[in-house]
Amino acid sequence: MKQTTKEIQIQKRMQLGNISADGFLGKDKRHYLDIIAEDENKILELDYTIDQIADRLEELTAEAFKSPEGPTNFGTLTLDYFSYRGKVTCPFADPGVYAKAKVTARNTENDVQLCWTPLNIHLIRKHHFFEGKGAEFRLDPEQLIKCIF
Amino acid sequence: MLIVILKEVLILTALFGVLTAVIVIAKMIFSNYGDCTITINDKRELTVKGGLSLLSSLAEKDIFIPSACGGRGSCGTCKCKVTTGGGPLLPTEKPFLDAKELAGDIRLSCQVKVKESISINIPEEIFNVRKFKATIAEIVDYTHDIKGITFELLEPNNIDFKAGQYVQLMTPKYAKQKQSVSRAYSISSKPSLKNQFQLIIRRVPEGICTTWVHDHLKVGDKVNLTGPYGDFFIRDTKADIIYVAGGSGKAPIKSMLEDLKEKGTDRRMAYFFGAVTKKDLYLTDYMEEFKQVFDDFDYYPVLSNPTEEEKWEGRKGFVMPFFSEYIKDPKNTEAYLCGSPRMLDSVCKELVKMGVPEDNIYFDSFA
Repeated sequence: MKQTTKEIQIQKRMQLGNISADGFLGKDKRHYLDIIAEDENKILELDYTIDQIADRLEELTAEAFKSPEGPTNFGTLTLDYFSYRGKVTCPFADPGVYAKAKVTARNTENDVQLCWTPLNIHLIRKHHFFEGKGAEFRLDPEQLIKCIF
Repeated sequence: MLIVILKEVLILTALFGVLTAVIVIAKMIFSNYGDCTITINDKRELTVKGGLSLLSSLAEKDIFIPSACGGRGSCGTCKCKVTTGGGPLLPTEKPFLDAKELAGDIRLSCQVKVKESISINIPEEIFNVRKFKATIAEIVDYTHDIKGITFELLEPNNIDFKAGQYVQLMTPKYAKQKQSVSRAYSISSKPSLKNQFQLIIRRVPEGICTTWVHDHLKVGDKVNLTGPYGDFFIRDTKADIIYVAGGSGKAPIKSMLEDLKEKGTDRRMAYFFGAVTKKDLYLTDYMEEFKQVFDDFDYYPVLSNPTEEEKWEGRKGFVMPFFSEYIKDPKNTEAYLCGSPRMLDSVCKELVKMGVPEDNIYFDSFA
């Protein structure tokens, strides 16, 4: 596949050790554009939209943030927000920095549990990127939908 | 026919060759900005070779403006005032600058290219920032995810800093990490120890620097760092002090208390340390000992989510509800905070609500 200079730079920033220790692609050998395309199709198939998912993640993050004393219940979800000092940048080189934090969510109805970061939400909303398979913060669209809706 | 094709290939190759030569020569002529002068604070002049970013040009002259992203234009930390030169404001800078900064000629030094003589204003403290080589003297496990690292300085072999300031530690290329990065960590030891200092570093999931520190760094390793940076230090007033920290945020507060122990103080002080469970507490006995050192000091560890097995009988929940046990005169109280952005956000709101003036609340800018 012929790539633009910008795409080559993005793919490079997603590799391990560039922005994060293990990178954004995990063990996924595919190009990031192929990962995006497959996840977009999966979301269409499940009859959801990217904005619906990003809006819900933002809502849940805000709820988790409100409870500094530990896990909080929100509908069928148990949410926990954990933050670290420092900030992280976007592999697509968008201006701005994102808090180093993670939200853990467990759906008490189906026991699906996963976690995401503020950067995940940006990557999903703006770039439709859920990260490569095996990446620390990969959000499998099907599991994600099962967990948060 | 073959000769004609070969001829055309040769002509095309020659043409490309000539064009490449023209581009290379043009680049040499037009990208050669020669020597440029950087005038700093109207009193110091540096001569640099033009063409590099302002951030890199200054670093080459051992002037280190703090930067969290290593000059990629993505963190917005390396701001400085450019009074003349510097060229037009770039689209990559605008998202990081507010209206006041735009009006005040503030630029991102990593985006400003030195192509002509340029005048800038930077805080005088920046001149105290130096590049250090150090060796790892000791590594202590404080908790399951927090280590205390002692650095012995090699070159230069001493450091001057104010209790509360931070350094930027540079990772080498390690394991599969292909490039060096630098990250900010508060110094946790007292400033009077000139030839060594300590950092407290918590593991961050996916963190390049903290993974290196926790999984690869060994006693005897040589490391590079720059510092000291920051304006997080105790103000010289008579006001009461409330310290609030969580996790590795204990570092600068420890440095401040050790410094005050040496210098002496009669200020009223209390330290609230927030953690999740008992296994996240560390240096508790050491902090308790300061009660014997200062006339009026209290240490309050608070656990947000202790497990039943831990049988924690101390304060539970978040730290904020306990502030009222200490704050008697909010207008005459200074707050020194260090921890995650979320903790800072919640604590700042509560302190302001209690009447502590916003100007009296201090925290690390890099958090």
